[in-house]
Amino acid sequence: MKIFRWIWLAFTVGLLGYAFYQGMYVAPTEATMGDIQRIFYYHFPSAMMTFLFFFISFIASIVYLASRRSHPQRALNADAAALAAAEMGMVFCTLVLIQGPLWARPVWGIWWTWDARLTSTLVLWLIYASYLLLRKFADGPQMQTVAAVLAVFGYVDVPIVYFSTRWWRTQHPAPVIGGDSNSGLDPSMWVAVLWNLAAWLAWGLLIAGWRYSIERRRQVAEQHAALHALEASLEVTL
Amino acid sequence: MEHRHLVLAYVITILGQLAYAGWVGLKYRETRKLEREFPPYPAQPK
Repeated sequence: MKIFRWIWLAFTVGLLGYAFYQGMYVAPTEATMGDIQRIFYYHFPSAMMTFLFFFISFIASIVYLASRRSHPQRALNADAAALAAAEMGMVFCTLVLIQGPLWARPVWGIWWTWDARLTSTLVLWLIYASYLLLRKFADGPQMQTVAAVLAVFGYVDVPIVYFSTRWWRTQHPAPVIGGDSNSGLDPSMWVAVLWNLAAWLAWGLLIAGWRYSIERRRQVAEQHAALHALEASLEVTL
Repeated sequence: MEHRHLVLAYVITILGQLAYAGWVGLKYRETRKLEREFPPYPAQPK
């Protein structure tokens, strides 16, 4: 397992390097914005990874809620997956909220505006920040259930973020990919987009997978700790 | 300003991801410590 993870890491680093080369040097310069548009090659994949990892957390939370009584081991697996995916999604979401203003300032002349896309993304960040804070500071047997419910309801904001540029007039541009007939990406730019999507997907799965395995080991270690504590208390009683 | 923002966004992206990976590494060390402290509970002899 360990060797597989090292091979994946080497593969991912190579992929990230090549994706960077594609985005910065091979993709053509955009006609109106110039080189600053190249932020797109990691802003867009970061946004897609945010959606993907929050979706994984959403599904894992549903599995946890459905199986917490009937299949406790499956529920623990799902809980660890929900946590790992939420953390990874949160990292990507934070980066989206930093990359966006850095792109907006030279192009729009402002760092931030309270339009639907930006505001709903910030709300998404706040929802998952509260999810992670709940997991860190709340205690007791109900914590995982409450966190799973929050992850399920919190996910409702993801489609709102995605469709916000279609539903409302926004400062943020209309969708370039999957938009109307006037939108689209130059075919020569697609190669860089796909390489960057693949690279950040490989990175996200690597780190979230590692985080998942650590969380599972922590759950098992805590069960052992509870058994040791029970044994110690029985010895005192006897 | 354009190039500065482009480079800054990329550097923050990489550093942000590496910082999270480093934090996961710390969690790994913490978990290893917990595992050493509380080894698997011995099964009941049959």
